[in-house]
Amino acid sequence: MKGVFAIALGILAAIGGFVDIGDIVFNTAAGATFGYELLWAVVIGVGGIITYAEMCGRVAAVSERAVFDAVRERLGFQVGLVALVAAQLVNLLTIAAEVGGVALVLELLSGLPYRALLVLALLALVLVLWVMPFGWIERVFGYAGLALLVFAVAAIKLHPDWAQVARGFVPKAETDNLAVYGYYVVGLIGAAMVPYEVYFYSSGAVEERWRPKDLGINRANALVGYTLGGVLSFALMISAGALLLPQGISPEHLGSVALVAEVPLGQIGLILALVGMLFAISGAAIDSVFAGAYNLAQFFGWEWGKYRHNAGAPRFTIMWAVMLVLGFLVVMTGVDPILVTEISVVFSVVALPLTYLPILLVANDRAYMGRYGNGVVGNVFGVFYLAVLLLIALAAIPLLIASNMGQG
Amino acid sequence: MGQNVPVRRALLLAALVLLAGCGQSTDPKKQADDLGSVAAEGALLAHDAADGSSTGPFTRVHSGVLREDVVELEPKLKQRALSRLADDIASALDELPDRPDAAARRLDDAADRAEELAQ
Repeated sequence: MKGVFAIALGILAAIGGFVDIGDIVFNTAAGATFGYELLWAVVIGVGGIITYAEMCGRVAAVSERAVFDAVRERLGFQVGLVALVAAQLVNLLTIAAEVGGVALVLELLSGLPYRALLVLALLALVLVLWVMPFGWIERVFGYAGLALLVFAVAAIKLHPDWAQVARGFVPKAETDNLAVYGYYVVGLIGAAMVPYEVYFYSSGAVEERWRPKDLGINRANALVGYTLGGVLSFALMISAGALLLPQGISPEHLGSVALVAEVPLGQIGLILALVGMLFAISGAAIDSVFAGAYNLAQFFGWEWGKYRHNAGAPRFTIMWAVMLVLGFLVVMTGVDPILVTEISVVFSVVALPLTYLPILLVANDRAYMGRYGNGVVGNVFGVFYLAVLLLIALAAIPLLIASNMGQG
Repeated sequence: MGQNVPVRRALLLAALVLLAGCGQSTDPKKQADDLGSVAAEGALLAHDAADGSSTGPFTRVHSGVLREDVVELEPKLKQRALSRLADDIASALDELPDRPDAAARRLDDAADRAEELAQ
């Protein structure tokens, strides 16, 4: 049982970070557009986030310092500041999308007015962030988000052509519209590796006071948590490929995603899907709110951490509250949370190398890491993924324009 | 001066994103596909609601969201057949929460018509 609780950070980071509102809609849309053809892109994304989450968790356990400490130290103040501003803008968009997403799911569950539910979502999130200890946030939102596994059951019940599913793990582009295909590839990899996941994960490792003796737990968290996130992504894509593609449905709403579980499993499938989405998206809101406050506090050298309690780290506490309220105000303008997420994913892709390069540099610094620095395998994966990130960072904006945001 | 470069880049990117978002399709085939997508999704929802496989709030809210999609498409439709189809889909979605059986039949029919128009 202790082992199950020990991997809660990875599960929350994966459920809340990997399977947020953007992934939920993006994976479903990819399945509805290309069937199972893009499953390989999820594998690339999962491999990348496992590689770098393990690396930054190791850095945190050995040096007791999180990502933005390293960003400032390795990139210098000016470039670090650019990285900070970019990260905070993407975080703000993400928070707005997630808060809006929480309200959308509550609306689908209750039928109450969206704007009233936005206020309720804000109050509930403030209460959770203020009152709940870090460990309980991890457990409640991480494990309740596992209700999303209903999509794995839905995928099986929809009887996909498993031979075709298997072929989806081999990269190929059998399509007339390469721009849309490329847009989805970039989006799927980018959404799997959104920077706030590693900000949250590494800061969470410091919150949990991991030490070198906990490196096994770090590895298990990164591997189990993000693999689970990947399984959920596969399930969404396969379900959508089996149900929506043959009927020509282009899902653009959270309700469309819930329908994918409702059709094969009825009311229980619908309710589990909505509850899973509620906790996963709430978890993502919490991850991104904390990530925003962590980044600022680490960059400017303030006291930070939920473990210090609210009064023990006042600037950190004020910053998470400000980030949350700003995100709330963005969605209160009436902007569509799904559109905000898609934009935030593309912008975060552009900023990805600025997040991941310093992690790779620090993880290789023997003065910093001693005998816990990257080995050959870690570096091969690290450099490979950095090259992938550079490539998709360069391609993201041109593909966004050429594909008309994936609309073709 | 150097510090303004990232800001300018960010503004340029924002403008590009806005431009990309403004590129709504006026191609009749794509419009028929879009209407067909809404009709087919509405039909799935209606069949589930008729079978008692859905919940009241979900059926009401999601049919309303799909109806908004049709409302957004309507002003851009130039062909009369597409406009008529959009009206039929919107009215079937209005009917969906109260008479899902009838709505399911109408939406199935609308999805078939959309497919013909797209071809």
